[in-house]
Amino acid sequence: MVEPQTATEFDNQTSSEEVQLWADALLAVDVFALAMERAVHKGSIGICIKAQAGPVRDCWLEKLQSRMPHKQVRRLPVGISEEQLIGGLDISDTLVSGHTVVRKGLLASAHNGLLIAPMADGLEPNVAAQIAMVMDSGEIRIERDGLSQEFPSEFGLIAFDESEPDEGGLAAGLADRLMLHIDISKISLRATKVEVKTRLRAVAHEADLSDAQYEDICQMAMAFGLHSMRPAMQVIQISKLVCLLNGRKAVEQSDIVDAVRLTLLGRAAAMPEMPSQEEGEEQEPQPEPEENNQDPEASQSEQNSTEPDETATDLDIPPDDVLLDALAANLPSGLLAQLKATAELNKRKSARSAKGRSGAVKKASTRGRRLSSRRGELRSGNRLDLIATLRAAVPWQKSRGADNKDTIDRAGRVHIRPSDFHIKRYKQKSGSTCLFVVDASGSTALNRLAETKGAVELLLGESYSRRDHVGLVSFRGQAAEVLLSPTRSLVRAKRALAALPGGGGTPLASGLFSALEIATEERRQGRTMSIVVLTDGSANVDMVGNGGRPKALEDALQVAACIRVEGFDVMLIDVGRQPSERAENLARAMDAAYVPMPFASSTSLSQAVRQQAV
Amino acid sequence: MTARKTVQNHNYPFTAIVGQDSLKHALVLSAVDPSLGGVLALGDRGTGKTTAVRGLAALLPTITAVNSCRYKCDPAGSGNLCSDCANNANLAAEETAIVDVPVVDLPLGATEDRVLGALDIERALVSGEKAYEPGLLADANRGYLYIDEVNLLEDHLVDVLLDVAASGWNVVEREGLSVRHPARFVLVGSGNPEEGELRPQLLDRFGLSVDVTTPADVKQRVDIIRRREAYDENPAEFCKSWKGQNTKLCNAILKAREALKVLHVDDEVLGLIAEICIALGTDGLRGELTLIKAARAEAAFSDSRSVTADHVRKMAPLALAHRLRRNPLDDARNTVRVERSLEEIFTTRNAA
Repeated sequence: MVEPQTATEFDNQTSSEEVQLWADALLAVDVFALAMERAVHKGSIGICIKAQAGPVRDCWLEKLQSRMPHKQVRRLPVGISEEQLIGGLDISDTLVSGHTVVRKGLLASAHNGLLIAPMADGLEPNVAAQIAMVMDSGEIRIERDGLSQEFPSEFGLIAFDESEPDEGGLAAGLADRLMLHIDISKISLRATKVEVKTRLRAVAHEADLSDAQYEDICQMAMAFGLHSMRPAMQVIQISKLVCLLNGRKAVEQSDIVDAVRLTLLGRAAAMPEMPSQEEGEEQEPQPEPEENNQDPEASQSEQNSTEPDETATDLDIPPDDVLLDALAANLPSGLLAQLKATAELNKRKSARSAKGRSGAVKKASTRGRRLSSRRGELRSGNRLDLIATLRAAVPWQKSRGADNKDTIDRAGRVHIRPSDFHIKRYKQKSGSTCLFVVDASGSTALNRLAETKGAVELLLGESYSRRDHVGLVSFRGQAAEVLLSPTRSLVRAKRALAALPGGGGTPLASGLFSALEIATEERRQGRTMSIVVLTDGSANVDMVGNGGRPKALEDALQVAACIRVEGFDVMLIDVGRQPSERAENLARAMDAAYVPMPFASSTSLSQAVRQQAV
Repeated sequence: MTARKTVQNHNYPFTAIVGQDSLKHALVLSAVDPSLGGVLALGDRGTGKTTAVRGLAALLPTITAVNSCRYKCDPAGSGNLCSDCANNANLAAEETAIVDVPVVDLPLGATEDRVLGALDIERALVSGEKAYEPGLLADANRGYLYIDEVNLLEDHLVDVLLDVAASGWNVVEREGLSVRHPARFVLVGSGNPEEGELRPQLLDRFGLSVDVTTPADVKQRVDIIRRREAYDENPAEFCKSWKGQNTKLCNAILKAREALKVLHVDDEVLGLIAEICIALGTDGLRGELTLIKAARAEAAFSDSRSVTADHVRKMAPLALAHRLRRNPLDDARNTVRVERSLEEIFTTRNAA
């Protein structure tokens, strides 16, 4: 991704690239402002900015706000509860006034204003889905706490994506609905000082596209691997807006190219073959061969793993060459290679970023075995225990009546204060997570990777029927890789498993350590953990990625001891050709059940896992 | 009860939707025979799932309801009646109203008390009265209940919904209330399996399921965008231009409903259906029952006098694909697996 270049070259290129990126970021501001002003489509208008908190981002936001000085600005905190987001019954006011009072949620109060979401990549899946729906409909419906109300909710959403390149990014459903996608994370503050030509104020009302342009745009969106209908429509809208900003009425090719840069490039899941791309690839140096453990299978499998991507791009319809030429000419050359890498990442993201996307964990449980009621606030779906609340209020009736003589109620009403509220509590049996740790190193890849995959698939089927969450960690080469954070989606797990390449050294310690980390985190969230390790027990890469058997094995046993101390349920399936003492020792170190694979028929395997998971 | 808008004035017309034929077909059949058990639409983002379901609302024929009844009971006394209407000897003489078929959206973040109905807090706190405030299930009676992102809904809420959808009655036992009211509706769910697997018991409860994908054809995509733009520009005008088509479809549905009453399925076809279900190894009998109903609805809608093997074959993927037992070793989509089995069965039949 980062091209090693001589210092002077580097300076020159990055600054021109940065200026271009900054110009795009400012164009996005103009487009966003005009889109808000013209209300180009029903519902809300959104922009996704890839940027860490910092002066560049502040500078950009300042520019944006200065374009819309009268808009009220609201912030969307990342850990917002459903209650705060949607709204509900204002219980104190309801009690004081004697009739139901609705408390507006953030989405309703952001109406006609700007909603800024820092760390939007960390939003809970249900919150992101809720925002996505409101962005479509332009109104928020409250169906909570016995209330049924609608409020208009149209806003400009500014979502800051602060994720690292290998993290998940925004929830896909929400990202799909955001009109603009720009990246300012690579811009230095210096670039923001460069004068960028100011655009005219748009005068005309409607811009026109030709039929051919419609087709080009549809092809373009598909060529970038975006199969949803929304991105194509967003390109059309942005093209029109850019055209208007340029003071014209008929959309020209340059407008479309601008629009593609502003909305498609940032989230591309594939890259079409670009005319100048070959040159870029030639300049790109081959990755340096790693010092140890880079055996032939490894590079072989790496090639294998890139193959599907190529076929995927082949399948896509090649978009109009002229448009692509224009786009390629328009981009600084260094950017292309970078974009290609991003597209690659975006493609793999879906496999990695399963972070709890299924079945959002509700902290306040509302089902299960009843526990005694507790004093508490009426929030986030809590259920009021009416009897306990009344009981708490009764002793104070006389004094409360005396407090406010003028409002004393002769009809014998009960005075209840928010402090009396008792909340029903339930104890819910939490779910379980099954984490697979798969050895994909050269030794296994040669012999039994296929069988290992088969065994994991079998176990996945088992955990599916038990409704476990499943996670997948593999280790090979230098370190372990989390292929799939625990999720309930079997589709994802299967896909991640199928794509798992083999080859390289055996960083057993690193694999076990990843498992330990994930398991600890899962347990903190209240799930029962079981870990299934598939390995032959050999190791030749240590914790920090250096070769050498003795140190590697020592590290592995040390991590195994940590796992034992944490007391997780572990099963070790020996995938070696013969059951080995090494693997058995490792199992003992983790206090794990030991199942040699040659004896592991499908039924005995699943039985073993079932016993573990009880 | 708070007045609530269930139908928006200018929904995108159902017949103007480009492509998505199997989704549209499944929805139409669920309108022909509401007892089919609902439709589940799974698939990509931005494919118009939501648009199709909402479009159906505008299309369906209106219903007659007892004016004073909050559950919209039928004055003719058909279907489930609430306790008030059931005990009303003069039900037929009650004042009636013509209303649109309700299509109730279950928004994400709806709480249990609003879905099922609960104690009316205002009245409980202010006057100490114990009164029942009906929820969304009551609103959906005799219509549609639509859940977008059904896989993001809390498990227990889904369980309750499925229970009610199957029985047609909502039984509330909470906060000292004991209420039973009719809630007969067609459940329509949509979601993206990438964002969380649906449980098998949940899948099984839906009558028909369809996989929705975005069209790969550029012309079709341009068409979609063009129509959407025309609609956004002037919804009223756009709906007007599609009114004829919508009415035509509506009449076809009404006609099929009549035809359904006299259509019966002969033993040979029943045998075929059983054969298909055995070959696919579907759990339970719900698959068979749904396939029979679906084939009947299909025959009625296609204006045919009897249910034939062709009708069965056409409906089998919709009725059965989501009921197959998960096979983690078989990566093929379930519809592909159904097609494969059908191919085998029909080749041997034709050969015989």
